[in-house]
Amino acid sequence: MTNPSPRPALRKAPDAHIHPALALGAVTLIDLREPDSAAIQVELAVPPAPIETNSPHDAPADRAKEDRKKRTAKGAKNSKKQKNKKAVKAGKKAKKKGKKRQLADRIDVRREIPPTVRRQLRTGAKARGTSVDEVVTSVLEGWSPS
Amino acid sequence: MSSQSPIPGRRVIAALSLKGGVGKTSVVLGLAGAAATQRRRTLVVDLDPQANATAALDPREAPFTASDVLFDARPGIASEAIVPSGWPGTVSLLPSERALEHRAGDASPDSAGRLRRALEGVAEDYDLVLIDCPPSLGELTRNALFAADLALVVTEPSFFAVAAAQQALEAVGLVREHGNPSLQAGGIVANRVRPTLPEHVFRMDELRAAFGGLILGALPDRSAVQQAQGACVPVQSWQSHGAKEACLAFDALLKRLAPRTGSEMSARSVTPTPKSVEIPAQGGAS
Ligand SMILES: Nc1ncnc2c1ncn2[C@@H]1O[C@H](COP(=O)(O)OP(=O)(O)OP(=O)(O)O)[C@@H](O)[C@H]1O
Ligand SMILES: [Mg+2]
Repeated sequence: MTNPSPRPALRKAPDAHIHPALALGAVTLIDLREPDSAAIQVELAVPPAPIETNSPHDAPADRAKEDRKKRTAKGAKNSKKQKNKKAVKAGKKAKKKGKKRQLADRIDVRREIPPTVRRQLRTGAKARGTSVDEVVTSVLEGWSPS
Repeated sequence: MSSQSPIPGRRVIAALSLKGGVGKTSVVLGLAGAAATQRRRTLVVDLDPQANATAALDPREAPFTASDVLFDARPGIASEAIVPSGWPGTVSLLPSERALEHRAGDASPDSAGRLRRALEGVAEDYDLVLIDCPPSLGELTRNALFAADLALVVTEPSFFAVAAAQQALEAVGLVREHGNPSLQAGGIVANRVRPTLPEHVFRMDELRAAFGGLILGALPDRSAVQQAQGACVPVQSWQSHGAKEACLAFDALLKRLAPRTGSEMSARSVTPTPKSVEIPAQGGAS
């Protein structure tokens, strides 16, 4: 009798950070979870950073707590302060990141993908005035679990 | 319980309606709270990208959601996304998030069975599984109906109620014909009923005339329902006259939909007692 092989853990769906209001039709999908198969997909051509909204659906567990905090004047003040701090921090981080990406040496990643995907990639990137390299980089950044 | 149930030995109930805002989520929460007071192990599956049930159940964390589960769709994978709710006692949650909307667009000929597959071997851990559907009869609701053995149509005593309930029942019939033969129409519950309003009395009569025995009853319109949701506690913990009335109605509804089985009652002796709930100060009359 053989033991069953371990089941790969559940992962976030690759479109978890994409706002549903963005047209997914405009998004090209390529397989990244299992590089040699075409079964699982990761979106391209959509900025990987989550779109900033005040929607409560970003962190369901936190929302109720935030709501409750806001019920007190002090809580509301604090949460505003925190938001401002976070925004400033995020801005700094984004600037740093952009600089880093410009300066960093780029490496050549070779993967085999279906020609249709490559075609879609090229046309998608061209239509958005960007390059295939930029698109792939942003996807990999978004996909990376770190 | 039907022996042909897709998840044998369980009651898996999907609350649905094409119409929005009629109280699907409130009914699911009310039933979950009623089941928890009986210490029945209850799983709420939030299948609505609005994630209202998730917010009200206030889990400490929700690293994975129904969106990830439906995307993956391996048998039993739902177990990795289920978290304890913030409510006291025995209510667990398969949370939702906005991105679940993407799964609504993933329709393919066999995509409606994804939730059912993901719950294989998982639903058995619960006495009751309640699925909160979005206000549509699309892909997510189809997934709920494929996984359920009982469909509960929620409606309001309004001009549009009969048509909306009819459409929901048609959807249930279609899923039973094409994919889940063990799905039963559990019935129709009218929510937010105010018996003092002539319009509501008229619409309730109209619903009874149209659906007869399928009408399971009426849930009263009580602000305690909203107050409890706003404080992320079960209405069963809310201290007011209106809350008590609502609880009685939820108890009665639960009894009709999923009466306790002998094995559940005997198993309760090993279930931990739920913690007491702190009632917020504003828990006055409703
Ligand atoms: N019996 C009730 N008494 C008082 N208020 C209620 C009752 N049932 C529902 N509500 C309130 O009505 C509103 C809509 O209810 P709910 O969110 O449960 O509807 P829904 O059908 O789930 O909506 P959606 O279609 O958007 O998912 C909420 O504010 C809720 O608190
Ligand atoms: Mg709802």
